Amino acid sequence: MKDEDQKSLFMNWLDDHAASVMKVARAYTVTSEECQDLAQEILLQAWRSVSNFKHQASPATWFYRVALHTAMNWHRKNKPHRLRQQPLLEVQAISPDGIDSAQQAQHLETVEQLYKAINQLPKADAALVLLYLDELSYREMAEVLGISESNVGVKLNRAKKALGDLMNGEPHGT
Amino acid sequence: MEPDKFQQAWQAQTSQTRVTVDAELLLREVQRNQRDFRAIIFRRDVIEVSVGVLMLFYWMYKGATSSLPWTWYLTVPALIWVIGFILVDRKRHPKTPGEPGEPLLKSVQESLIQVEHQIWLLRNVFWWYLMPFTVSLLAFFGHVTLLASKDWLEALSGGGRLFVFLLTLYYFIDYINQRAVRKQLEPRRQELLALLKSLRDETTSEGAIKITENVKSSRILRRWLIVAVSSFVIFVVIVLAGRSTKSSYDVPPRSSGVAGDSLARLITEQRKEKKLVGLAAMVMVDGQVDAVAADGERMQGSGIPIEISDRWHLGGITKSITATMIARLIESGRMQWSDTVGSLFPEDSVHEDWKTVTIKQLLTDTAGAPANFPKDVWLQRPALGPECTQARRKAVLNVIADQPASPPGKKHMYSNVGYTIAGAMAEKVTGVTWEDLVKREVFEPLKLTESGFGPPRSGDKTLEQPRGHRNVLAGKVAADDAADNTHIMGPSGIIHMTLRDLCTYASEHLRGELGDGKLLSTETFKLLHTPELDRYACGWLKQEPGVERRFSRYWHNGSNTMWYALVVFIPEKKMVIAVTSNDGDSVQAEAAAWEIVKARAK
Repeated sequence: MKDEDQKSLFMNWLDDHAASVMKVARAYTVTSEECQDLAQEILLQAWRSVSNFKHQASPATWFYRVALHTAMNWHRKNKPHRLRQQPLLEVQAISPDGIDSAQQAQHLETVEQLYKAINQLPKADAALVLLYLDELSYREMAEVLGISESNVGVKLNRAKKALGDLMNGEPHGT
Repeated sequence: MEPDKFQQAWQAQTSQTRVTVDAELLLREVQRNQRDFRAIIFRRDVIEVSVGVLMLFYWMYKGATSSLPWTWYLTVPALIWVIGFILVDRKRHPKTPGEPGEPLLKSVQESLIQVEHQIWLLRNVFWWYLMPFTVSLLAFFGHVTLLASKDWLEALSGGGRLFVFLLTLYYFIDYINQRAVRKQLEPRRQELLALLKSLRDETTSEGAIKITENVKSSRILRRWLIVAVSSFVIFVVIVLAGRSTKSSYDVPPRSSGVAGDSLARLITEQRKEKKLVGLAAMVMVDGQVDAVAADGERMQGSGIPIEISDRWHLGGITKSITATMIARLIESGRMQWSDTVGSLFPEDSVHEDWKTVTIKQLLTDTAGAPANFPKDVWLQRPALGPECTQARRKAVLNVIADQPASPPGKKHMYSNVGYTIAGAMAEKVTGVTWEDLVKREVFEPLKLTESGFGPPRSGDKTLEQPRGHRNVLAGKVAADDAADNTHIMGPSGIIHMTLRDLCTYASEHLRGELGDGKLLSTETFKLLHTPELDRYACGWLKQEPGVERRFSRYWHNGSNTMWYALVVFIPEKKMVIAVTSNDGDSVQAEAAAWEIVKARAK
């Protein structure tokens, strides 16, 4: 793949999947600074491996794979030289029509609680929950994780239960 | 709340946010990241191996240009092994980050394989990295120690320190590697194992994850026991090889003079019997060479024969030359036999008992001077000239600040210090260095043109002159051509001469004894040859006629532990005999020398 093509393809993908990057980054970090660092690392990894993209998976699946792979191998202390001047990714709030502000606030609070709960889950369960929340099919989840669909079903049920417990304020046990 | 409601909230929140990426910033960061990545790969793969290759070249260059024992080269295969190991390991286990576009399960498995391999490398750093160097360097240190030590006590003391240092250093390296495994890699491995376990297929037995068992670390004691045994085996090989080496040297001896052939047979027989590296002798009768012969090698194993014109380190024979030089200063009025230490060194620090010690007492070893200087003086290496004169004076002032070893004038005590004090006194009176005084007062008047100071210079490859040999645990070891006692004690033992110069010098004393000397008056020669307290004259010992010998003999010998020399003159026979060896086994060399004197002075 030529550099220009690579750049163009990558930037197009980012329009659709940058949100996934941010979600994964947030799910596997605690502070906003760490979240920015991890998100940046995911983008760098994605750029580096975009030339190896074989079209055997969808771009969405591929982005999740890269994001989760990077998150699993990421250690804050190993990345001391990250660019700091300004954030690479910026999250902007938009107000779509037809949703009242009370509902928006309710959703926001729920999502904040979800991130807190995901942070407490084992890493693999956190990945499953993220994929589930983003409404990926069992087949897509299986492709991202590299496990069978039936296995996805078993694990997802357990992860959902753990998530529910955490959201209801019950301690999560293994 | 049911989980599906989480999805609703999640999706609603997603639709209310937009993530934008600063493309330019990302591009710049990507470029910077790629540069950093390339730099890391370069540092890791190129520099590590390059350092090893440079070390390899350095090792071989140093080995080729220095006189190092063969065990130096044992590190070469160790270096090649480590470089090769790193290259093969990099090839088989490239440590580039795994492909992030792979499914999570696969990427976790790959990460686990990498971490486990890293753990294996560090846990086994002893075997593939430390042990080859430890064994090769210990063998080298051990060999050097054997080559430099005269007895096992010295070897254990010197070698033990090096052994402990190396073991401590390598133990520390081993320790920090094992610590990295414990603190960093093992937790990461456990984390990956947990991740892998949580992704494990619970519906079928297929796809079950194969978790490799962790490598157990070897026991530390067993490791170092292996090093100790390997080193010991190499030591034994070195010692046995050194002792069993039989010289294949079989070059006929050199000889000249009327009785040269018979002398050659005698010294060849003595050299072989006493296992000396080289042996040479000259017999001069009434100033003419009657016989001269030389047999053996300039350096053991070199195959280069010693020649009858070679130069030899004289050790203590230097004393009579210093005494002769001072006698010349006395006859010319620049010094007096009654000059005292106190008169020439008026410093307040001089001990009262030293102040009345005369130059004559110093030259006859009756001054009460200690036999040798302290070790710190032996270790000093000033170059001959003003620097040495200054160092000598300082060493002398330190000695005479303390009480003499025995009451002056009462007791004979062979002393290198006494002659050094006498030399320093002559330097103080004349303002000229000891070696220049010797040249002016002895070498030049007697035309001793093949004489000098320190061992004869002799390059490693060219071997223009013989090399002294130390007799150590590993056998006979050639010393370098600068190895000698400190020049500070030059007046007592650092002159070298050819056999001809040595016989010419002794012939002058012989003639002086007979009243026909040119250098000094007969009275002074007689004084130089008359033992004080019935023991020691000024650099000469006297053997009175008896059952074993018909005539009086005047003699002196010397050895700096790498050379041996003996000179004898027999006034009644007008005969001078000089015997020299480049072998520090002074017991054997002395025995050979006296056998030759006995045979020639019948």
